[in-house]
Amino acid sequence: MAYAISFNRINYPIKVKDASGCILEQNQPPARIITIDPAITEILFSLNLRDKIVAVGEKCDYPEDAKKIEKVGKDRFDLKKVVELKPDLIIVNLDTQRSDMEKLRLIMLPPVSAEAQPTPLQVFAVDPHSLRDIYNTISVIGTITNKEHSAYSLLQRMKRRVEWVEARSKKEKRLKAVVVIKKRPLTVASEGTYFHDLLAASSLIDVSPRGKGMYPGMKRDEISKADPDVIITSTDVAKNPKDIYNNRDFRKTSAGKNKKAVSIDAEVFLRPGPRVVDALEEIAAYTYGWPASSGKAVPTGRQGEEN
Amino acid sequence: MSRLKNRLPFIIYLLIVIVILGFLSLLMGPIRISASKILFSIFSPGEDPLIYVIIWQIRMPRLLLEILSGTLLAMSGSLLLGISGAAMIDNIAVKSFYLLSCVIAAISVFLIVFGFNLESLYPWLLGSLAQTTWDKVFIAALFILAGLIVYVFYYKDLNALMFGEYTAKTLGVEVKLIRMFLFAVTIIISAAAVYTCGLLCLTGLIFPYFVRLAAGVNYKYMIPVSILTSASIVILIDIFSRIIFPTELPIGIMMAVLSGPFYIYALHRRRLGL
Amino acid sequence: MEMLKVEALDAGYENNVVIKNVNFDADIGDFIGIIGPNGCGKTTLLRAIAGLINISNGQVKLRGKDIRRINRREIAKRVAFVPQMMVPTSGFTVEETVLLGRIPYIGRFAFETDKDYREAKKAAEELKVEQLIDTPVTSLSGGEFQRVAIARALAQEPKILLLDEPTSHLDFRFQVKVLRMLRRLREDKLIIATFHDLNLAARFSRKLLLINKGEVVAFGRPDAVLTSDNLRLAYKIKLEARKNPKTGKIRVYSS
Repeated sequence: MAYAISFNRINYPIKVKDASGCILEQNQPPARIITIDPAITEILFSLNLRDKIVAVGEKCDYPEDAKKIEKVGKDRFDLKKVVELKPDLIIVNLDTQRSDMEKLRLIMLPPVSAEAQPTPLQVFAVDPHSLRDIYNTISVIGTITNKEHSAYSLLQRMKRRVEWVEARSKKEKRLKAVVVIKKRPLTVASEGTYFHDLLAASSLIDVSPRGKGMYPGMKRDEISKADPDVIITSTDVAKNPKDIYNNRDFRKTSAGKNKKAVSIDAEVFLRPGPRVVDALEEIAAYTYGWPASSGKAVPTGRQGEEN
Repeated sequence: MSRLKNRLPFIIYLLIVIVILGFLSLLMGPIRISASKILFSIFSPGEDPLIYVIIWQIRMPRLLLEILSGTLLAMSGSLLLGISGAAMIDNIAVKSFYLLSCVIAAISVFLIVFGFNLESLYPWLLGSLAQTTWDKVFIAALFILAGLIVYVFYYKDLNALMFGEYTAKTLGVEVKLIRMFLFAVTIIISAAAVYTCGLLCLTGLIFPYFVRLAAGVNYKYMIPVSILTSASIVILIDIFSRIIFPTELPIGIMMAVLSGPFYIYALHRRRLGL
Repeated sequence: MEMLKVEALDAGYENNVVIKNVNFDADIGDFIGIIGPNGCGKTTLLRAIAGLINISNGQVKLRGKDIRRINRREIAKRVAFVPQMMVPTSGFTVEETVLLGRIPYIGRFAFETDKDYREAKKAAEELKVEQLIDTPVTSLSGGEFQRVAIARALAQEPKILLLDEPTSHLDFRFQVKVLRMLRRLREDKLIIATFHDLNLAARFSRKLLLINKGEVVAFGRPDAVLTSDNLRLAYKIKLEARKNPKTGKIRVYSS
């Protein structure tokens, strides 16, 4: 009876515009979903769509179960395999999979019988950059998979955790921070990215250069002038925080002198999905010396040595 | 139209079913009256005044009201189907209403078994066919007439809607307006149904949803088929409940309980994407 | 005055604008093929021209008159739209389905007349489905039902016929037959169809309209539209169009 009364209302047929400006039309909820983007995979799992995913990408390793699903590519789609699997929905990241998206939009699935006719592949593009984009992506994926209520609950939980960090960090002394995305050439995250939003949520002042795009480069003199108190990066850039605060560019800054840097697990930090909240909590906990906080069992990144 | 030839046997079959059920309904009651006496009373009413009163003042109005209730339910159920299509089941209001009806039905059965007197609640909520008057029958018939008129003039639009919103629009049907108008008509007819057999009877709105599986959604045929089917169901439910329960069990309860499985099956179909 | 004029058209669904700034005109005798990647404007443009979805900006004019000023029934007598994938509805025969096309001509309080039956029969014959006249549509093949749907549109006696992917559900042997029939019809009609298959589009259309991401990339004769540049712009993969010197027809190849 519970399943009958479930609040994931069916409101089909639907027409939803995606990030590329094209329209997805569906008459019923998708039952065969493919995506090779790890963040999208995590979102699908969070919405309880495990049984509807027929294939993922080789980089999709979270949660554990995702590793067991058939793979159809790493950074690019194996188009032949995709067609063979006859998906009724493919979710792509507009930024990283644009050319594949265009190709997928041309493909007509072969007919299932002599009578049936080819049908176009349904492709849906998302393009999450900021934290709000991530919320919208989760929401829209909920809409196109008939899990609107699950998406809403997930977002409520995420927002609550973000608000908790915001409230607590507001009481702390204001510190300056920067998020390092790449070591050589030195690239940081700036306005428009969710990294910037996470800094804001932890009441940290983002000292990245403005007006130079979402991922500007930063020169040594700019860094010295900005003088961050904390450096945040991912394990992709520095397996150990030592590698970043001892780095020539950062050595002379407050962060370098106090050895204050945290390197968050790339698989958590670099995916615009539900786990960005985990990263946020880790950033705040490390920066302000809070105990391992709200709900998350073990921090997944490595933390700088205490001074 | 040769299509009518195909449908006719089915309709005649349903008519026969109704006549039989109707006759069975007339047979039932605290006072035993034999079948032959009933037939006699129908064809030459004046003969036996006692039997006349029983048949014509009590049982026949009750039977007619059952038929009319079924008809009203069929009409508003079919209209609802036309307005919202298969998605009729998904509506949260529909779901809540069914849930509520089941709860009320369960509580009522409980109370009745334990001897509580629910007489005052009966008519409005649960529906009572026990005290039926010709007035009630007359009013119900008026609403049905109005509904039939709407159908005769709007069946084309309803058929067009069945082919999808875009097809209907390209055929010149003002989809939004028609939907609003028909919804208003549905509400009025549903109100009449509540008047004749109580609030819980609205659970019977789902039957046309299943009629369409058997007979298709062509409104030319769906209406007569729905009407005959729903009317038969109402009579059947009444006979059934009079056999099982010595005390009069209000029809609404039985309707809510017996339509439950249909509703669950419909939801299951929706899950499958039908 | 041309039959159809689309000016600065923005249209879409609910609060979304899908197609932006579409401009083109067409007249009786034209056969226009709309091409472009799936889901990116073809169907939406067709629906907007048919008056089926909200226009947020710009105009669609039939013989100079804005379609928003014409009531739906009148539009239905001039413009007929055939959707891409129709699911056959149970309870209807082929005849009853084609007869739906006569709805704009039958009054609210009237019923089908002999003329309506005649027109329906004519339309069915045009699409070679007249022998199926009493069959329930649920027992038809996908291709047969698609032809019935086109017959329904023809029964509306439209001046403009809009078809969404008319070939994608047709049995192979009927794809060309139906397109030939539509080409014959264009003598006294304007035909606009969306195509997935570039070659079919090039072969049968007088003019092509290439649309991607809701914007018109090119509009004109096939050889002008099917340039490598345009195709690369719209389809993002390398396609090449070559003109067959003998027939003058364009064929598209991937290079």
